Amino acid sequence: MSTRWDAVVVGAGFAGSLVAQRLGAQGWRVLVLEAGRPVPGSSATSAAHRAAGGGPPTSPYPHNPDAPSPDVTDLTGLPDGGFTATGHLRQYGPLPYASGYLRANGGTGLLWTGLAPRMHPEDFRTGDLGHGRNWPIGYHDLEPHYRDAEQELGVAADAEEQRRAVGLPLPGGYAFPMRAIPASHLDRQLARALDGRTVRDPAMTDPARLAVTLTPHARNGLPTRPGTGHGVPCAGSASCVPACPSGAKYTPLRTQARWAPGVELRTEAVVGRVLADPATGRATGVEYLAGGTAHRVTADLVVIAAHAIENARLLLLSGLANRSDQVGRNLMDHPALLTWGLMPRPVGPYRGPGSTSGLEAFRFGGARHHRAPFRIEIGNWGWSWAGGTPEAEAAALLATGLRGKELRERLGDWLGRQFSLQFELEQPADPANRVTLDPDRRDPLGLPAPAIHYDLGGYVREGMASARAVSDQLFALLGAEDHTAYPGAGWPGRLEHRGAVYGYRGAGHAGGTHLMGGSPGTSVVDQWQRCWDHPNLYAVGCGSMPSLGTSNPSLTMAALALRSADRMHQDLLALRRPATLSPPVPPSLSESS
Amino acid sequence: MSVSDDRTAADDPHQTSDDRTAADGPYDPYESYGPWQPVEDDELADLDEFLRVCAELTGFDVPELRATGMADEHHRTALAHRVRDEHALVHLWYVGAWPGEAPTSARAHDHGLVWRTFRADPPGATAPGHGSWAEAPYGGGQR
Repeated sequence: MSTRWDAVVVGAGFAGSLVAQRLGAQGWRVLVLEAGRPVPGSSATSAAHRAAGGGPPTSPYPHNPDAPSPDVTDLTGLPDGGFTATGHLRQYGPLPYASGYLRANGGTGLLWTGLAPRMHPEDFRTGDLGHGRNWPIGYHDLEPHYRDAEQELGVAADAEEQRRAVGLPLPGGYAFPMRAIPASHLDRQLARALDGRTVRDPAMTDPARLAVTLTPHARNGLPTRPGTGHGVPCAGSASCVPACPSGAKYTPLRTQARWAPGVELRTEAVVGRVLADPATGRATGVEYLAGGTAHRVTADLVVIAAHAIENARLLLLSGLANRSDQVGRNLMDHPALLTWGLMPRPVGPYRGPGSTSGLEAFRFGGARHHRAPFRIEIGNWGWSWAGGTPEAEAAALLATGLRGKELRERLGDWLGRQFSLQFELEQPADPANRVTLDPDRRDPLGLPAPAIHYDLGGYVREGMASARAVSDQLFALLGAEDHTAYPGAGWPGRLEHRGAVYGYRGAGHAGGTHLMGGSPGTSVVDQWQRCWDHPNLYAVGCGSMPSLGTSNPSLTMAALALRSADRMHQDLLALRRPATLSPPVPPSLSESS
Repeated sequence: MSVSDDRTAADDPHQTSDDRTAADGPYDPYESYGPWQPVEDDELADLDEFLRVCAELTGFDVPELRATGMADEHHRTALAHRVRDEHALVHLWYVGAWPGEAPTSARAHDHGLVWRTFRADPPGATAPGHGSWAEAPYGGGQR
């Protein structure tokens, strides 16, 4: 078939679904190719996860065997340190890239936590701080698109608190669509003990003043004004990951439900190559494998939106966009240092979203010259991310032989006071952290598998040292017992720095692998996420971000995607202009597909 | 910290010989007890007797066990296993699964007693309502 599409979008996750929605709304005909399978409703997914007794976040979703997904259980920590890796990603170390992603319709956006903070203006200028890269655009270029994304996703937050506690310049009179998600009982206990107190970060000249601050969420809260709600408010099922059973958390499927009829989705369609005209550099379409056969589609615009690692892999497989030699490089994540313990009194863990508040004081300022900044998430779900799920805790206590009333009471006291702190650290762009094509491993379709070289530099390690020093003081202020420990067996992400041991988890925030910049010699895409070498090939997603700051990146990814979608529309109009000199003709119903 | 003399890291997943580990807390529920006791088969064949034994082991009385709605299912699961011991029976009630196996059903998981010990519900099983997480847990003291 030789149907020509206005745009073909590779990947039906966060960025791809948004781009397709916007282009479709402008009347363009868009084909979306998703490597993974369609997924059942979130309630069924949650039930499947419970019926299996838990499991890693991707486990309850349908998997296309031709398009494997990595998950955290691919990594195994060794008792004496170090790790081994199996699965989709070949890991060359020295440290593990410790996050997974999901190849399914909706992508990793199905199982994200739903936290949607903006980046801070300072985060766009990390290069000026002496670490990583600057963005070619600033906060104010992105600000209107942040508002657009907050409407599209449905963000619940308190504008005044975001101005005051985070220092975000929000336009006067701005209201998020929904009121902030309420603080948990745990947050309130922490606020009583911490607000207004100070702690000393060894990297900061002045003491840091503490203020427990609500986090913006892309999950339904109460409407700010009549009509601004996005659906049933979060009902507190405490299961945002892997799936929100009530549907209150935003996923890309919500955007897909608004796709115009001119947008077509094909699932289990694994794109193996982007095609380009060697003479002009213009992308002409893609090749994909589906149902055991190869297909080719042509389009005026090609958008790859397949996750930071898969986008880089696809560009490398295609031999495109790499004049700068930066494709696949600068892989970043938010390494999350966890600490955990017992509060003096019951906190009511495992209720509500995984985190509802945080501490913001360590994200900004002069200390960023010396150590990676970090945002502290207050963890409402006990010790689960650290590996101590209630089931595991119960099994461990049972194994000691405790029985009867004593078992019931001790376990209840132990679990009921559990909490954790999650220090999400900025990792600056480093060209040595990279995705390559593995020379000797292929996926089930015969495509070279992705390989990862990954390490955490001194800047991040100094950030971990500050985070732990801050954690120790927080525990003291809280009167909490610290139970943090990083045995090699449970911690594939584990390192020593200046004599201390630190364990980290991956926050699932892959970025940087096709980063944007101001010149084609040093970056892969321009400020519009358009490949420098191919004027009609866009690579969208967190892979375009030159720095991640300390914010969960999905909202920024969404804002960038919406900004780029405007530009794509202009590009398509310009392509049509010589022929029509008028707005585009809506998709012709007579055209076969 | 140092690991106390009568425990090993294997006994307690949260205590190791790492340099940055837990401070010695005022109390630690993980203490060594004797070997697991086998349970006599004839004690389990009858449902009432099964529940009486399980009530003693779990610390939840017979009406509480019955109220979970899991009595028959757990009884069948126990009888389906040739080797039974106290540990396995308590694990079944607390986690909804025989040791080393997946839960016998989503219901079994959702009614695991482990959540009841701290008056919580398993993630995803209930929808207690918007803002419910802001309140003190039952038994969580004042405020």
